[in-house]
Amino acid sequence: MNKVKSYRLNQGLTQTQLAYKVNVARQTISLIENDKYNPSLNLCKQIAKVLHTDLNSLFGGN
Amino acid sequence: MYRPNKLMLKIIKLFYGVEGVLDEYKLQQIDRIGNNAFLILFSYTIVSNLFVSFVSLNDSQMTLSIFILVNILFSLVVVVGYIAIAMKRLNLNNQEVIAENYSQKLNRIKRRALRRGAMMTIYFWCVERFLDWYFYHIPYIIGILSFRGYLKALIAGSILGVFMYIYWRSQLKKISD
Repeated sequence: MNKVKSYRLNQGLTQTQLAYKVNVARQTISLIENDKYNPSLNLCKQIAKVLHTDLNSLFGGN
Repeated sequence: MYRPNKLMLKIIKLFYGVEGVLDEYKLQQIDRIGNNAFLILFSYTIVSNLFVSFVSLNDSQMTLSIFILVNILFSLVVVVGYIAIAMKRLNLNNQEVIAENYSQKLNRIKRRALRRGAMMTIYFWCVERFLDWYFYHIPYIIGILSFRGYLKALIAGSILGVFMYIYWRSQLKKISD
């Protein structure tokens, strides 16, 4: 399970705001948070940058 | 991930009726849906051409007329139908609108539907004048003076305008944020 949701809430962002910052639809953020879609490396990097973290913390195991 | 150029993105959005951002998830799903639609169409083309080549030995003119009609129906009903259902099922053409922007968005849709209806009215009128001239040799000037021609074009435009308004409105989804 990825930690996008918890990092997003820590930053005080809504799904819509995060989606706007990384230029995707809100639905895509929802799918990523629920592990229903595997985003591309490029999108992962963008999300990590917006949430001020690194890929390993966001998408790594544990 | 492969990202088409701006023109191609616009064509894809127009063809599949995608509103808002066309992100990588939507592109991936559209790729899959388009691929399936192609396979359906390709299989149909192979089978129908083979079938027609045998049947046309008896009455080629009649066969050609039926073949054209069936081709159009197949494209519209089966292929477009499949695409529409698949897009709806995955909510790919949903447009999420914040509650306070809803009425503003609705007005924009009304204007868009009105524009589309007007375009259809002009298109229908021009095509009908051309067909009248081409098939029945009716001069253009007679068509310009025909009230019925204007009325028919207006009805066609209104039907499309209303249909597009209902369709776009059904895609709107109100969200709290």
